[in-house]
Amino acid sequence: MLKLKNINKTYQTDKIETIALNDINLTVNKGEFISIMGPSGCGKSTLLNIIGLLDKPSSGEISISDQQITSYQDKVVASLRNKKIGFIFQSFHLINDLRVIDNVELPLLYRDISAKERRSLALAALERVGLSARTTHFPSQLSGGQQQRVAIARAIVGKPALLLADEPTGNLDSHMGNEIMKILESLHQDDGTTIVMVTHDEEEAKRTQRIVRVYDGQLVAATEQPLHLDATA
Amino acid sequence: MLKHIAKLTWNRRNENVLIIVEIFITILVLFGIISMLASTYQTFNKPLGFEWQNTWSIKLTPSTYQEKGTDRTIAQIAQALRQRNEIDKVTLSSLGLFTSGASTRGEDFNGKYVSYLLTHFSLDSPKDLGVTLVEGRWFGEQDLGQNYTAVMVNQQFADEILAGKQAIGFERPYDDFIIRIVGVFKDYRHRGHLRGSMPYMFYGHALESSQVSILRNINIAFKQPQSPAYEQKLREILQRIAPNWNFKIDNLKDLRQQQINEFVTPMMILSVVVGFLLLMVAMGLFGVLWQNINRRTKEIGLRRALGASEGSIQAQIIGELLALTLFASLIAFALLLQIPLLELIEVVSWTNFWLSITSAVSVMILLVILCAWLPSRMAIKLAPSDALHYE
Repeated sequence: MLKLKNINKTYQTDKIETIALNDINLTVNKGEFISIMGPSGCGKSTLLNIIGLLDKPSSGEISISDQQITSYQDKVVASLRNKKIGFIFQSFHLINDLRVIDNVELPLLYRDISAKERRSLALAALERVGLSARTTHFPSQLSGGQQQRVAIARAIVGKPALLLADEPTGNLDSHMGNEIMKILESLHQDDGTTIVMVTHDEEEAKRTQRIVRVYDGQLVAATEQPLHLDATA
Repeated sequence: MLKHIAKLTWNRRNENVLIIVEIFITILVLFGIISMLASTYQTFNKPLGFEWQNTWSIKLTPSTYQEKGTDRTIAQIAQALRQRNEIDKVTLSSLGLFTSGASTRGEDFNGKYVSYLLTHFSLDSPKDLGVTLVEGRWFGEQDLGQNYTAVMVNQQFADEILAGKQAIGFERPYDDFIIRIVGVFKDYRHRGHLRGSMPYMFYGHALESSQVSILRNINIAFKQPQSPAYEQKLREILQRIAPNWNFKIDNLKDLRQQQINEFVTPMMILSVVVGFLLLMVAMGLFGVLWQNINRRTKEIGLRRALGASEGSIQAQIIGELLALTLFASLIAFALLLQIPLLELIEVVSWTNFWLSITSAVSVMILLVILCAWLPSRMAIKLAPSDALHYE
């Protein structure tokens, strides 16, 4: 599903070269749910951005759904992000001036599908996260947990092959965080969605199949979890 | 996408008020400038109604204001000039060409107060000046010794003041005598290219008449162009007849050019001021749009993460601003439409209105696209990962 080979990322200023990622090799199988952990500033978000084609590696190769990314031309990566990747962010990133249903429809605006089909897919996604009754609300009228569910609905509405979650529970209390984890687990278990999640929470990480640890821009360990979930489901 | 843009623009109407107001005011300013320019251009290009090429004007000033025999002296001067081989036509009138002076008369006409311009001529002068006759006839000997005074009016007078009445033969009391319209001419804009048409009336006087004393402007049309040196010769001819009189001699070409220059110079200064004003408006708009787009950097990052290409983001930003421009234009249109509807400002005719509103909105659209292009370009050049975390 996802293959990173010798990925390096450096940030260059006039005098200093900062190595953000150093020779990262990672394979995520189809239907796998993994978590990336590490201290702040270790490069895990950079890694997630590179996986999500939001940033370009300085060197190395990436393959998503067996398709190697050879061009970072805007139209090419935009189309790949739109069709193959779903994003969930820590701070939800909902557009406050759009109703819930319109927020969920956003990724579909960049596909060639009818308004009727967009609406139908968005309603189905909202139903999947249990927010069918909130379609006409604005984000500011929802709790943090509900907002993150809207963000999850937006991430899954286009049926992406890969779901990337950047600390999805980071802005939520433990109760709401647990609700979000349950939805992610359900997406993985019931729909077979491949999920890569960055987290600081050891307990949440333990609920995934594999923990990948990053330290100073390098993968230092990958821990297989006791299989409470079936990785090939 | 259009529905999405409309929805987003409507939901953000409160935040967009400042931009809408700025665009609205700019459209009003542009409309004012364009309609003024268009009106001036149209007025300038309308026919003057007389011929001025190869013609000199002589303004006569008797030695004293109430000098006896002025009428005879003027008739002698006209006669002497007509005998010159190099001179083709000599015309006499009470008002000089390409001068701002005008004789205006206002009166009740069929229960409506009207005003019109008035000039006195020697009998042949309108025809010799190249005025175009539309209906009726020129002044002639047959008008002398009658119980009426022959007048001619322009087409605008016939259309607006007589309003459907038969112009030729129309009579009415005028002070202590009767005037009769004997001819209708097309137009006569003696004040030059920059003044619009008005209803106009000509009075005709025989050279033998005592009224000739008011005809102190003589225009002489030459058969061939004359050099400036001819002025001295002309002055000598005139001073032989009226040694104590003053003669101001000008080539109508120079008077016309002088009049245009007097208009163009302040207009050029004004256009520089207007240019600066527009630049300030553009910079203000640019600043507001920059701030607006900057505030949406995270949203732009999000949209790119969700699959929007750089082009579609830029198209959306510009599309949203065009939607605001359309909204502001509709308000401006509704307001400005009242001007021709209620005939509030003379220069804003219907033709002018459509031209000015279309041009103002087009310029505004261009300005908005230009002002939105750079900030939107900069916003999309930020990597989506950076845009998402932009503060």
